[in-house]
Amino acid sequence: MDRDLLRQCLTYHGESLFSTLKCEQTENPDFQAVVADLCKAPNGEEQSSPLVEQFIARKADILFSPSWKTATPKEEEEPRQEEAAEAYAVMPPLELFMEVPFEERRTMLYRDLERGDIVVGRINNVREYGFFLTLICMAGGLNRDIEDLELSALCHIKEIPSAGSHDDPLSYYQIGDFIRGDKNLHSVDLNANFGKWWTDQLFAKEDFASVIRKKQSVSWALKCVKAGVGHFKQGRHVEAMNEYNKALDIDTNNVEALVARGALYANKGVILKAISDFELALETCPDHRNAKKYLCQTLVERGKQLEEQEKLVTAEGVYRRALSLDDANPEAQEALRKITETIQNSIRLREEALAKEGEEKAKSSQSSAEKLRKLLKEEKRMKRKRKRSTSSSSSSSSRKSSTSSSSSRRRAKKKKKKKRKSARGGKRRSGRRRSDEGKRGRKRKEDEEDEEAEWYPAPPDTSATFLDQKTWEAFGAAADEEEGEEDGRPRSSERGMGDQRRTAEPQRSSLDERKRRVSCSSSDSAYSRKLGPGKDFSGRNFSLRGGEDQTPSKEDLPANLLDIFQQIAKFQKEKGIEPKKSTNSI
Amino acid sequence: MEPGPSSRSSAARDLVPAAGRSSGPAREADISRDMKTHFRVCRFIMEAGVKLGMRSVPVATACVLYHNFFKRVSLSVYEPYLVAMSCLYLAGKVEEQHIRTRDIINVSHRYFNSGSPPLECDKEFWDLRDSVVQCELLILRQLNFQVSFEHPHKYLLHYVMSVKSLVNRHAWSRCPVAETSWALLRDCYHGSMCIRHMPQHIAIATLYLALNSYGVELPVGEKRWWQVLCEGVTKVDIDAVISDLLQLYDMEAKCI
Repeated sequence: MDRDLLRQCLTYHGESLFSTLKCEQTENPDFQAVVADLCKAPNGEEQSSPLVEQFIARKADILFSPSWKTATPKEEEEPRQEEAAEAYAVMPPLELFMEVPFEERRTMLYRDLERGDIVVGRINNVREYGFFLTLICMAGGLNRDIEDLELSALCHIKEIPSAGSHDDPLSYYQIGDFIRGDKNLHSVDLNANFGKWWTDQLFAKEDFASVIRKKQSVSWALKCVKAGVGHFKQGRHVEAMNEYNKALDIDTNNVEALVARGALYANKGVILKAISDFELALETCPDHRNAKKYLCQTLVERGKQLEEQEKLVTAEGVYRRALSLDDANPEAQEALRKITETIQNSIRLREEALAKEGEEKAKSSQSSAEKLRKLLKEEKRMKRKRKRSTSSSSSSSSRKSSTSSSSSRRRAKKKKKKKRKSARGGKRRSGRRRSDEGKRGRKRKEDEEDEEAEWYPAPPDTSATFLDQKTWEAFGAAADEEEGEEDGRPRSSERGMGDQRRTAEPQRSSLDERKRRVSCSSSDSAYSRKLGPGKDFSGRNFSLRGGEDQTPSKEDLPANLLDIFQQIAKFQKEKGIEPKKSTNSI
Repeated sequence: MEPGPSSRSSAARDLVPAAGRSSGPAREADISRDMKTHFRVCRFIMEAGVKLGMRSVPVATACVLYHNFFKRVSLSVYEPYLVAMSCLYLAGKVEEQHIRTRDIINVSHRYFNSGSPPLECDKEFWDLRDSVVQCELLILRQLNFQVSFEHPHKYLLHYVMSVKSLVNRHAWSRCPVAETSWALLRDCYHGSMCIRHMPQHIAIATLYLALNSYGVELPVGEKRWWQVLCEGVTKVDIDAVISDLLQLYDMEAKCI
């Protein structure tokens, strides 16, 4: 029994309690040990009711037992107090409501104020050794109302933190300033956590709900697994799988269920799932004999699969793992030996091949720039060929030749694409490249449309496709809506068609053209907005816009002429762009 | 032990209405026997609440549901432990700390058959589960679906925080006033006193008792601290609560 508590209690209640206590607690050995000190029984300060005394007397062994101490709060940081303040309303201190007299409050404050409490005061006097404050309120630690207590405090010059580069820190402060001071370094705070009931520790752990549940889950799951194994042995694989899954629902990561399911997967040939099941089972229970055995066999199977797929190194790793699980497995050993041989062979062959390649590479040391130039020349040649063919024949033959040229171009394009992608990186786009990309953009459209009956030429402002097809569509999607507002042209119907375009292949020729125009112009405008600072782009836009204005009239022209016109326009633009761009490129 | 577990499996039997009772000394004996039964069942509720990891307030709700149910209903008609289990289940739902029936059944089964292995997923288990769920509906109907209550816990928390500021912090840390008052509050739920008094009065009374037990001195002003904290509470009210609580402790001594 806690002596201090007992003494405090007796002091409070007095003689009557002492006698009651003696009556009730005579059997209690702790009490007898303590009672010797407590012979002196001062007067009771308050008229305490007999009921309370009876309670205390009866329950003294619990009330004063030292086990409460374990539940007493620890010292904690300031933040806890703030958290607690948010959970319930902060009220003015109680003594205010109680209207405790002045003197008593003062004495209480002097008794209770301690190092670390934060007070707020107003400066009323500045002297050379410090300044005087009248304390207004508490800001932390103790919760009292002190304003009318007329307390004043001295803040010594030693304790004033230096404010800036003033030689005299006092000059920083004026009469009337509010100061918040912490008396000393550490603050004491008690937490307000009442949740723990001391009898929590008195119940056996096995009686708790979660523990029982876990045991129960394991037992229920095992029942399901047994049923599943029964199904499996009689060949009913589907029911077996259902049972295993049920078992795993009841108890996730149940070892037996995982092993059984893994075996079922391995039998069916789903090697990867089997392996993952076995691995999971071994994580929980690393010494499971069956799991190890089955895993070893399954890994050998997997290794064989990998070997067939020519992934020799991975297969080797797999065989090694299988062997580490079960040293005695003859299959695994055999497989490992064979594969190490194969790997060494293949390494040797590869080295020889590399040596040869190395020699070849030395011969052809062209710079990338040269290669690009070559490819561009080739492209121009192809284009010229195509122009000639289209001018002489009808649209269908033009299509044929275009397809042939396009197919040949396609092959060349593949090589170019890779180079272009790397070159495009962070550099500014030069006109040449842009035109290439434009061609590529157009190329892709051509590829798209190749399936259809007719080939539709790209509109004259295709050189605006500085962007490739992907960004085009993105801009088309975003800018389609803005486009209508911006230009104010009657394009609502076309915008609608533009929508369709995003989702499905274009249906008709005229529709197609208009759509492309829409998307081009929208991508134009979007692109120009996005690259605001580029004046050249805006300049080009105007020219393109000019081109656009003309397009409505072109619808009447026959396909051939349209075609030619656009090719020429394009070629001219390229020529026009190149000298500009050469000045612009860095 | 009580004849509880054997009759738990069939709820149908519980719905048979009781015959009339004789009056006089037999009746008084009945009443005290009933109170003892209620005490034991509430102890079961508390213990199960701890094992299920329920917070204080849901456990309190379960007890209040139980007491309210048996206010108008006779013990001979309904199996009290089954009602207790359903009260736990319902209280979990009301106070947003949902407890699975499986856990309640596991804990209760183990309470009555200590050391037994967990129940298998068989007929007995499903019967028990059905009983709990049906009884829950029965409780709801008996209580006219009024299942949300105001508890003293939040009041007690607030009062303790207010009083703490009046006391020297060292004196406070020496006396476990907060823990004691909280424990006293939980003990209140073993008897029907928890539904006979206002929650604020119960909170004030437990705090008063705790402070007095340790002889903590509080300043005295124009008003007493408990008058300030709770409007309209009188010493008489406080004494009534404390006497009820002490009667409860008396009964505890007789029950054990």
